[in-house]
Amino acid sequence: MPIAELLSAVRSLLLPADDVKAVVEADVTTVDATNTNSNDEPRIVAVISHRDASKISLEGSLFIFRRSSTHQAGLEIQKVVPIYKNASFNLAQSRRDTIDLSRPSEAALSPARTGFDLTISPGPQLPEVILRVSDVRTLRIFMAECKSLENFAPPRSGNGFPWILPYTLGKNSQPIISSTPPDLRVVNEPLFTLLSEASAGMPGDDAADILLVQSQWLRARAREMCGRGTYPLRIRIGTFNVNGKAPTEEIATWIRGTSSEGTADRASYPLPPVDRISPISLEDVARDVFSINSSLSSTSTVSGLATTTDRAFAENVTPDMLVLGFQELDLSTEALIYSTGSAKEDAWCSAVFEVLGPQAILYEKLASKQLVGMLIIIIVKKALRSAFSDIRVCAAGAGIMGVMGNKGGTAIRLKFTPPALAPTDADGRTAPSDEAKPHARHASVLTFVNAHLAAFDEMVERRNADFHDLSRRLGFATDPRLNTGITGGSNGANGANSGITPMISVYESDALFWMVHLNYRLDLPDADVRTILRTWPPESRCSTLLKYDQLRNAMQSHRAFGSFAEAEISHVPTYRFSSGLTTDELGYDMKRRPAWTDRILHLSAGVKVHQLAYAGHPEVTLSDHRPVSAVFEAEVPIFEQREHDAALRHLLRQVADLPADEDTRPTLVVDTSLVDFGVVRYIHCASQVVSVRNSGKVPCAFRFVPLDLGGSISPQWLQVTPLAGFLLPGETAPITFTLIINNKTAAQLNPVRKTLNTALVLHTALGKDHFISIAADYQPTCFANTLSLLTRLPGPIRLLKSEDDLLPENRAHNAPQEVMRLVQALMGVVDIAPILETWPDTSLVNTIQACLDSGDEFPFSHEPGDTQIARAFWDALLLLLGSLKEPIVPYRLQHQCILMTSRDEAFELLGELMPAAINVWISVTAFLQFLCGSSTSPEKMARRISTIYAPVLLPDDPTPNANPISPLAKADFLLYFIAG
Amino acid sequence: MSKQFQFKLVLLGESAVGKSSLVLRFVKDQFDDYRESTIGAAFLTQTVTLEDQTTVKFEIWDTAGQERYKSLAPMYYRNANCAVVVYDITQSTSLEKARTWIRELQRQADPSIVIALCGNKSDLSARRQVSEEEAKKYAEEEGLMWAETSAKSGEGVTEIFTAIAKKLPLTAAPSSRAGAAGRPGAAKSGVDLNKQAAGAGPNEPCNC
Ligand SMILES: Nc1nc2c(ncn2[C@@H]2O[C@H](COP(=O)(O)OP(=O)(O)OP(=O)(O)O)[C@@H](O)[C@H]2O)c(=O)[nH]1
Ligand SMILES: [Mg+2]
Repeated sequence: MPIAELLSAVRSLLLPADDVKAVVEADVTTVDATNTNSNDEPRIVAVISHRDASKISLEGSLFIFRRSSTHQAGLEIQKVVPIYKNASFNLAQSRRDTIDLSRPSEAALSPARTGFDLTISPGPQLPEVILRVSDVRTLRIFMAECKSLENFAPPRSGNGFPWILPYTLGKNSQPIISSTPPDLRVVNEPLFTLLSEASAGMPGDDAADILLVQSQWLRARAREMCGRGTYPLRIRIGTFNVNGKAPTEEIATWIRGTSSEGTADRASYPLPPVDRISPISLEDVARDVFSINSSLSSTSTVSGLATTTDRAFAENVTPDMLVLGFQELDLSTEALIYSTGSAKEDAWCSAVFEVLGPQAILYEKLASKQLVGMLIIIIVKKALRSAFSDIRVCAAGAGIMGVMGNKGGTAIRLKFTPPALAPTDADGRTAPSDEAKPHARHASVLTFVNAHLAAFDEMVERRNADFHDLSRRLGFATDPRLNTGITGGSNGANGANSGITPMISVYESDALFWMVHLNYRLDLPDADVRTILRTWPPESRCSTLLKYDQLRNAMQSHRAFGSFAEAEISHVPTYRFSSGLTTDELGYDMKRRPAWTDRILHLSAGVKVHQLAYAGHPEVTLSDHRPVSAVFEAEVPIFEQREHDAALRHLLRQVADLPADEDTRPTLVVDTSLVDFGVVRYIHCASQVVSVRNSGKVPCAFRFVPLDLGGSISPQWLQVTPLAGFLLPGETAPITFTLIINNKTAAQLNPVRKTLNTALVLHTALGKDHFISIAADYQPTCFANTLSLLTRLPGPIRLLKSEDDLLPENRAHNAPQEVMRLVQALMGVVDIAPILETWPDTSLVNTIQACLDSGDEFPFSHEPGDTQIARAFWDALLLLLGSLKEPIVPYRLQHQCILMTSRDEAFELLGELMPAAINVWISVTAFLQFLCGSSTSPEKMARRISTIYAPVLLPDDPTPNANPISPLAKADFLLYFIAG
Repeated sequence: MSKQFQFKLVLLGESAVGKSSLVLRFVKDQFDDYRESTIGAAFLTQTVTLEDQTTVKFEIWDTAGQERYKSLAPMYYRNANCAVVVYDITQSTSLEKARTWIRELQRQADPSIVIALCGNKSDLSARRQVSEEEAKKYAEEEGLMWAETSAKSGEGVTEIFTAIAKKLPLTAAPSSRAGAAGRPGAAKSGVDLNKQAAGAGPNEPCNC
């Protein structure tokens, strides 16, 4: 490319205050400790200068670009190297020993091999960059520009060069202007956690914070300005460890889905889930309110699956894409040593089309990638074929010696350009120009990974490490022609995080899906897993076991798959089945602990992803695993790339100049300085909105700061969202304050009425701190207290004026009056079965709770037959017991409980409890025993009720690394009291 | 060669005594008859040059005087080099309030902090409720600097800041002083120093 063209291409990527001084095309070697990349394609290297309006200074940096066929300018920033004071530049003839003498002389003299080296040392102790160029003339100009910038350069110190941040933002040097989507792990990180450390009276690095907040705003705003709705892309994903078996037509349901998919398990138990209104789910309600409001918080749980599932399948929509991940396709030893060709793949592919039946004609295979036993296939609707482009594949081994492909992953990355006539174009706009230039439309990047990693139960740490290793090594070549793709072992040449990376990471996507067989297991004794699966009520079977799922726990603790989402699992474990004598009643192999080894996870940012179904397929019995399927709808944004880039440039001009003096300081006006929530009570969740307006002449970034460094922004009972934002002059933004009184916060605020008061500090970057006062009148609740406090209440908790009015220990009640009132109210129940099948009614439960707090009579003329009301009392009792600050059975005693072998032993152990706890235990279990006894099948009912009450009376110790106690053993302990 | 110093200064005092007005006069030589009460904390800078050509740059934090925000004040004075505690000479209650602030500073702030007591609105001496003698005596007892000012007329304003500037470098080594005052954007160094100071004070009462 001629120099002039390169210059203008580079210039088109720069912000207004920056300019390009010189540019060369060169082989680049960065002497970072890890990596030399001289064999790669040549890079474009430019000298960029920045003029700072306030400082009247000039700073310079080297920008290294890689070519990118997909971006408008054809270039993509890879690395930015600031030029500091005392940078040095040395020009020399290339050393001869790099010439390959064994080759014919023409080759040895080829331009890439001979020429001149410009060795740049950007500053003291910084790694050198060597540019090798054949044309010494351009290199001389280039060097002269570098040298002249060095004259102005600042010395190397903590905070220079804030202006390069927009180009390199993010931990992985993610440029703001890029055709490659930003790393999903970085963009899903809440913005707030990336800002500098600051507190009231101690601003952090305001300049850097502005750039961070601004860059996120730019991305969102540019999309908003040119958005034309979304295209709903329906994706069906399947994962199947086939154990070397050949396909049969059994796979039809896995491929096509069933009408009850995702609800299949639910269909077998038409009962409402008990934990719908458990103490845990009430906590979640409060948390959800926050995460829904908070655009900055990372996405985590997938909720509402059940309701959407039904809709999705009622519509009977066929998927646009079918993505299938297979593991252990080929178990033969030969397969490990040399490629066995595509016979297995062909067999599975034709089986898939066969079971698609009459619909097969609608589909075609788009891409596939196999590495020994791992295969990923993408099948798409023919009608959409032209919407898919830039398909890349890769694979990375992680098995024996890190390179053999018996373990590892294969992946496919592709672009999807929504077709011109988008069904969701709500207002029926079908811009005709679109069809004239179909390639002008923005394409979103979707990546699919099929991974299979280390086995063996104990090796959970190893699995986590394998995940990170695979994450790093799975990468796509930047040049699709080099698309061969197998990455070597961990000490291979392609360190994806080294100075200049030639790889596109799987995370550089708008949406990413992992089909995994990672061998994550359940941390529970084998026998307990089987018993729970066999005997526990269906509604709590999976949810109980999943608490001990290694993958779930690794995700929660961010040890692996940290920011990924996985839908609720309501299907039974998919591993390991066998036939013959060595199986249990459910068909699970006696030698392997049943587990959910086959999973489908996703992570997205640029494309919103909704999961519509997640199901296991027990009817497919050909392998020792059962296949798993998931259905997603991806909302692929529709916008014209050119409009988007123009919008971005327009916005960049608006934010380009930072304030220089007092008159142009960023100023915010907050519309109210006092937010009063009035009276607030237990299970309360209220929001109030304050608006902030940029009343100044320049753009303004704001953020909340804690009172003390490292402290929290707000007390636990208050959530603020957003925690940071960006406003153009004249613009207004809402800030939502959400007050949450749940178990956790009520426990801190009880037991007397008090005025909640706090002031938050809203910091204007480079400007003032604003104070926003929050006030509320908290009324205490009998929920979320200690048992001993409840027994010392002289009357209803609402009437308690001060803690001094509590009864002395020796005059305390035998048991909390509130628990007794609830047990009393439930005494009239004759048959518990219909009550368990009634849907919970939250408002009735709230009424009951309010009466317990105030001491008022329950406002129901208590007809024993009213199951709805009985259910509410039942739930209220569970909630009250579950909300106690200290469990009825202390954690340390629980280990003894599970050792009890007889009813007498169990009763004896009760003596260890606090007197009030003994009384509660006796009255509650006696009541439960009565209920079970009067049920039509007492034994079954006792088992069922034990699974409901055990987690409440003997809750899990929440301290990290606490020795887990099997839920089965706890339920068995409770059974001594309520059975028979 | 002239020396340069940089100090963090915080203004404290009851609402409406004229803290923001004093800063406005000092920084921009302006006065507003109708100023909104401060709800927050504003950061401004002004430099004074002493006779020996030493320049002292003040980073001024003007804080909210309203009672409601009292709990936030420590965040702003905790690493300040000097504090100007302001009262209104026409309101005797405002001197009471000033005394409370001074006691708090003496207990909780950096022990080397320079405190100036400032009686504002001297242009309204017709309505005076606080006599010069009373305030001066109190200041002497406590070892504070003292002056009367009028943000409205400008009387005494530059003088009190200059007096503080003169007093400051004498109380500590210039180098450590310059470092202790964190620039915005480079506050991290200030932060560390603050942490050390907090940890190093064995006599300090627990300020929780
Ligand atoms: N006559 C007279 N009025 C003054 C003087 N200084 C301030 N004022 C007036 O007193 C009122 C309060 O002044 P502010 O500067 O806002 O007081 P403040 O101490 O900052 O108050 P808060 O921000 O609420 O803490 C304003 O109406 C000022 O015009 C002064 O020296 N003389
Ligand atoms: Mg003020």
